[in-house]
Amino acid sequence: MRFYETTIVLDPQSEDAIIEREVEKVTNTIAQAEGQLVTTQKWGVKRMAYPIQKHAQAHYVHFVYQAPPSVPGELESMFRINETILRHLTVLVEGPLPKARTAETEGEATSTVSDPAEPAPAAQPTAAPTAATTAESSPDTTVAVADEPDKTS
Amino acid sequence: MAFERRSRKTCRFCENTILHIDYKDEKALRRYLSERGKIVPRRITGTCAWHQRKLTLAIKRGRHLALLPFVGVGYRR
Repeated sequence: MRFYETTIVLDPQSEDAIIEREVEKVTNTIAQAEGQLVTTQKWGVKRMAYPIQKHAQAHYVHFVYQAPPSVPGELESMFRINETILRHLTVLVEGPLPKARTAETEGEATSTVSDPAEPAPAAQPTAAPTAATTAESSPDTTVAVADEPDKTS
Repeated sequence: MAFERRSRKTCRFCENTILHIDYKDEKALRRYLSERGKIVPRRITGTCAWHQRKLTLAIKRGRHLALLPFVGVGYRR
């Protein structure tokens, strides 16, 4: 069993029921393989950085789960035949389990979701907690770097 | 001017001991993209080699999900 995170990008014109169904499909696949869902997050309709199949916006849904290695492959083949899914990405969770992304959840960064017995895979254990707390401040601290590209371009 | 000494830039990720760069954090990653959407080289941002590799991967993942642009708006054909 390993921790994975999957993000799917769905057609913005599909109704809520369809999105709900897709989410359920993923959940069922994970459950059938005796995996465990950690979080499901709907980011809602977001503007995309570039149009995909002429859509400017899309629904984003993000899953974090623990499952045997057969699951990502199963999901992949499921996503590929599905036309409402514009994009999908599954990666191994690195470091602490991702925290809910509800706009600004800042402040309670270190308390990761459930399952304290098996924290995160492959993270340098001592440094990981500090990384989680400082990660929150990164958007602000990177400001200084931001204007440098403009000078060159 | 040409020989003016600049203070050494340091890696922002090292300073904050960030070990994992999240591809979902488009706001933070955008700072490492040029206006054209190119990844800014580390000679300009001062990011260390180790973090630049992580950053590059995160940006590429973000691009795949259309969280980040391949080509900046206004530069598309």
